[in-house]
Amino acid sequence: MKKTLTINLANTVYNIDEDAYQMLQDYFERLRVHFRTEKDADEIMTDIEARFSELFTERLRYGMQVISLKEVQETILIMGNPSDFEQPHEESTHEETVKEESATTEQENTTKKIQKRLYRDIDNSYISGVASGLSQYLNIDVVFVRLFFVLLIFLGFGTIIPIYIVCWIVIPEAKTSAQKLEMRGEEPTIENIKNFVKENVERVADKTEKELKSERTRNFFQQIAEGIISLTRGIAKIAMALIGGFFGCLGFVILLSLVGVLAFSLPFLFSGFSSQFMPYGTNIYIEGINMGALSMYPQFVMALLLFIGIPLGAIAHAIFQKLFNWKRTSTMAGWILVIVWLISFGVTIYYGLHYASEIFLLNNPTI
Amino acid sequence: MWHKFNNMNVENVKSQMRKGVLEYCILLILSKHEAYVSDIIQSLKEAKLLVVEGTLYPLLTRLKNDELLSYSWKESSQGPPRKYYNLTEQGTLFLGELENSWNELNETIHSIKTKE
Repeated sequence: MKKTLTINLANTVYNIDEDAYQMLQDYFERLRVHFRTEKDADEIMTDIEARFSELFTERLRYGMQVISLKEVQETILIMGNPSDFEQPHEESTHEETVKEESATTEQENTTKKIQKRLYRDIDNSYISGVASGLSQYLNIDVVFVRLFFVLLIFLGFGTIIPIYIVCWIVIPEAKTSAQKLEMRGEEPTIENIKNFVKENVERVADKTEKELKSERTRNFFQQIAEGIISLTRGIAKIAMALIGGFFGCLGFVILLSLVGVLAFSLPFLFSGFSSQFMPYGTNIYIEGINMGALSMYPQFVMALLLFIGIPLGAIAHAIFQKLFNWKRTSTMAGWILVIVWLISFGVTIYYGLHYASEIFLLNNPTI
Repeated sequence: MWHKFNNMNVENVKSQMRKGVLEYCILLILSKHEAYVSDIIQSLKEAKLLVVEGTLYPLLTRLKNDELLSYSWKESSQGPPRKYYNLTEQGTLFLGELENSWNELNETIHSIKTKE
């Protein structure tokens, strides 16, 4: 069984096997390099593509539906490799090959460095690839990034854990080859992607070979070490899931209370009168200081809850999205939430200051 | 080693000869009637002048850019429209000149061959 692709060759649609497509793509790329000095190189390419289309149609006449590697090989043989082309105006064949070689090295050198983008490197991930993605972005060895994270936790900066989780959710993973190249800061041209894929295939082959070898030669201590590593990895994953769940629950509770506050305080917002749920006299005392009643400042409470609730809700949503494969929310909704969050931030500060002075007055009636 | 090099040399000379007459032959084919690429390829392959088809495309484009050829699109009963090439006036003149030099060459070779 093979995966097929649909291609448009000179305005005709063909189904083509993936490997055959790769070969064809490769061939056209070589032709393009060969003809690049030619005037009207595009026209030559279009004509050649038209001829390929014709030859494919000839080969598909007998009920075959898909272009396979065999057909592509045959057609390329008919069309010939650039080195076989006879050029009436060329000076010498030797010079041409030299030119060709310099052209290819030129092309390899165009592995241009472009603006890097931060992605999670899921291929080299330990938990979620945040650290390895950061190491790619900052050009540091991933070991140092991980050590730094762990050190922070041991030094008591536990806040790194929620930060890590936020990074996990916010930073997209590098899924496609193009994204992986962007992560490394290389331009995602066809040539680069090809090199990258080739490199990766070799690496994976290497890895499996190594693993097969190590399977045989592992001794007792190595086995213990590996056991400990996989155990800690498992524990780390469970811990992550627990923390994620905690944030999810917290976000959910805050969302609920936000709805509750809305129900309680809406009457106040519009009327300024007390509601039967929040009678005026239910003042809250914290360590003997009269904080007044929450119902006295519904705007503040609402803004505060939005200010805390939106990020937590977003985290909860992202976790549920991951867990239950929810559909991705639109960026529009995200921006609206960010704007609401910023507004709630401003309102929180404004009313916070406002009510702080009122509470101060409340507790110092003599002034 | 020497033998191998010699062989390569023969191939090289042969391909140089083919290259020399390829343009001439394309113009000759088109002087009889307009043709689309596959027709030209067919004729050239029958004459064993073309080893790989890829040679032809840059050549046709160059001849067109030199205004010796022009083309028009014609619908085909099978598949998309085809590019039909034909000789321009300039192309006909050019072909005449090539014809002369070809005849001269032929005569020269003939006279060298028959000379004692």
